Amino acid sequence: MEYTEDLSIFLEEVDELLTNTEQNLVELEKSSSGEAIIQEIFRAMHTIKGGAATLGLEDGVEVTHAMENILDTIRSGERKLTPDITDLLFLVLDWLSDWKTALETGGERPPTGDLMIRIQAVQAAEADAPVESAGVSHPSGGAPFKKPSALDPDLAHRLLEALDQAMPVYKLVVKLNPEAELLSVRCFQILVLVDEIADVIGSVPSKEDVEAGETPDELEIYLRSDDQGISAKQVAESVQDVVQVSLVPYDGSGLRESLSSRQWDEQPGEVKAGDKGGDSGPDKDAGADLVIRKTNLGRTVRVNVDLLDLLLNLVGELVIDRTRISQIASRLQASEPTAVTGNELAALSARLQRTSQELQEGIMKARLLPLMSILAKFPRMVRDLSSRCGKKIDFELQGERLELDRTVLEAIDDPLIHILRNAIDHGIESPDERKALGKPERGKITLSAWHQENQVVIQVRDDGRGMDPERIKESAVRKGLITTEAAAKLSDREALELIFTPGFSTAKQATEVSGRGVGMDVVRSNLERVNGHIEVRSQVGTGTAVVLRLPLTLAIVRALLVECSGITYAIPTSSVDEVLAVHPDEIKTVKGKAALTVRGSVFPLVSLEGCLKDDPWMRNGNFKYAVLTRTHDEPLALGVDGLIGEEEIVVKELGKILSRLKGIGGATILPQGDPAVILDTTSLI
Amino acid sequence: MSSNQNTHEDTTKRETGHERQIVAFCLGSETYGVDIQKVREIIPIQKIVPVPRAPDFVEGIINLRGKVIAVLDLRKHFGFEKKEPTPEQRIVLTESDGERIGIIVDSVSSVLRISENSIEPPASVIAGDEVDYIQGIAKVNDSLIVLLDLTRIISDAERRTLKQVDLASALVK
Repeated sequence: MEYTEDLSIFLEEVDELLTNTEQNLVELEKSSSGEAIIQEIFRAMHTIKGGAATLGLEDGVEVTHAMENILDTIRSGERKLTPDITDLLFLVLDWLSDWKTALETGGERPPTGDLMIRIQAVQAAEADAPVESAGVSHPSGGAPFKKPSALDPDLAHRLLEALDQAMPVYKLVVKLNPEAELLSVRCFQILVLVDEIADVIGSVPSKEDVEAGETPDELEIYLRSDDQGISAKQVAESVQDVVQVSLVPYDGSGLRESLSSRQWDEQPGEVKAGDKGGDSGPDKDAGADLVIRKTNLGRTVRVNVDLLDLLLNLVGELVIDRTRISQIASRLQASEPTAVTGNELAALSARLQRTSQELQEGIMKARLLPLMSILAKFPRMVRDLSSRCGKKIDFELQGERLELDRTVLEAIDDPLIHILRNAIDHGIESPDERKALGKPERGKITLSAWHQENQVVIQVRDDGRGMDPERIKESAVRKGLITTEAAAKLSDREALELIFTPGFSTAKQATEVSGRGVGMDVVRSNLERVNGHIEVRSQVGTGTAVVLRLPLTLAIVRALLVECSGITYAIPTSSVDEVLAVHPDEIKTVKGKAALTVRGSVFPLVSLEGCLKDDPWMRNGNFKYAVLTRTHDEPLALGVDGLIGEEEIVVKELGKILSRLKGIGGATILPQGDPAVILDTTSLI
Repeated sequence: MSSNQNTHEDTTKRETGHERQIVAFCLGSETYGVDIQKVREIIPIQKIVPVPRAPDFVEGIINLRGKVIAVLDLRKHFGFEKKEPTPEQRIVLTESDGERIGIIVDSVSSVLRISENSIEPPASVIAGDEVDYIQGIAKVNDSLIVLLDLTRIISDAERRTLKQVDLASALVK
């Protein structure tokens, strides 16, 4: 049992290390000054080797050890980093990732033979490139670590704060067998166990450092507990590979002095995760070009997604009840004899509102994952695909720290891959073509993400050849998707929309990179499943931008409740710009179609009822209000019969039979208990 | 049929061992039956909110204890003429692939045990391949009960929806 637990901890560690290493490698290829990166890759290999050895995974040890040797010679300056070595590192990474998957799934592990031959070839070939021998060389296989001595200022401050309070502080010193291979796992285990039974103020090294790969053989834990730290000591003693545990009261002597006299080299706000290990290498500043890094993720527990969904559902019910209570309160308040009770209930309802809102936000946040979790693989993917297409492409990520609901993230993974493939394969021109056009030889693809109101916008922009509306029209006509006459009438924007038609693909032939029979229509429907939207903007010769708009969460939204022919519909407020009362004489006609002029802008006016009957221009003089919204990025005024109000609604699925209806985003239960349909105005027409 | 007769029939059939329990309900003048194991619940008719653009055999959605459930009108599914709502109407809730779906019926008559021997395959009675959701016809006391496969009806409904949606999205304005 312990074995499987160790294995799963190890595999998680490997997963993180591989992700980081992959980013590091892509980074390394771009910049020549990569000593800090080499150091980090070396450390990753070393950590994996250690874990593999403990678990008796000889193949993993063999590969990482060989790679470690090569990296060590680069680190010490005996050998130069060549493209051969970078390629080899990518191969090793792929092998490790297959190896990891095999361990996870219990499948067959990949053979080491071919890979080892390549590693040995590189090792042999490089022997004739001597550089002046290096001053300090770390003993091969021993990752450097800092002896726990100096307290980090943050911890020192926390200790001082704790000492100022009445409860005594204890210092638990745990010595581990330095020969034990899985030290970081052991340290982590000890920290977690002690944390469960005592109030841990901090430790040297910290839990985050241990998570980041530091492997000390001594651990200092500062704690407070009801039993003078006795149970903490016992727990630490019970951990495997622990050789000695001592417990002493801690009075903080010398702490104040050291804190005031000390000169911290690190400036606040310049904490570099890459330097966490305290490596004393000559390249402290090289860390600056490490762009993306998994930073301190805080203390975490794993929670089953189903449990989160259940909690969220319960919160949803709570939100509905809260709304009902406030409605009852206002009814009571409205009549004289019950006004006092009504006021009390209203106050209670306001309190309930605050609590449930915080609860709701908390659970919602628990469902969020950083965008980075799906973007991490893209730099490597772009690198591989562009070299396969013979193109030179710089890839930039912006806003990857944004967080999104996991359901949304899962739904946009494949679409983003598809969009990037398109950009690489069809968007960016070949280097020669670019030169001839007077463009820089290297193409550029930028994937950026940002918040806009309560949406997350993700944009993939390339500076390639752009899409020609005329060519798209021709192609659509040729494929019989549209008639020549209809095509002639389309605006450029409408022509671009054609790429989302099922069966459309402008590629002259399907290529390995982007032609897989999946089209932009699938991309669009994937996104619409999570209430997302996709738009394409393109200019011939200058490039294409694909814009995804995604909801922050799927579960609870604010919505405007409107009435139409006696039925209540919900429109998410994110897609409502404004609501107006409409008088019949304000309705103008433009080319025979109804329109409203709002502060100088013209909004085509359609009735909601007509839209839902697929006859948007249906004459209907009944509507009293207009909801200003957008459809396909163009303004639209929706005529409705009545406004009911704004509510927080819980989005529920409509089930398979009704899931793909155009203009319909789901259903909800209204405070009165009736179900209602949620409209998706962007696809209403 | 009297209850006496039923009890008698029950005991005789139990001896043979080849029988099944069905929920019998009426649609128009005909009696239909569904396997009791497919029926989760039978609830009185309640407020059904129409869903725009839904296929016409989907009557709308209801709120079943906080869940939104689609309700199908079997009359429309079978092409019967529309009927004004009556107090006898019920919604039979069934589950298919973990998804609950309601079916409106004119009235629920009873739960019956019928012998496998009394069930005839549909092909001998009705022709056509649109009837694969008819499992068979049972003869019970001189009356005929059409046994329906609810799972098939639902997958058939899903297929029809998809066809409708694909057609709609393939039409470029």
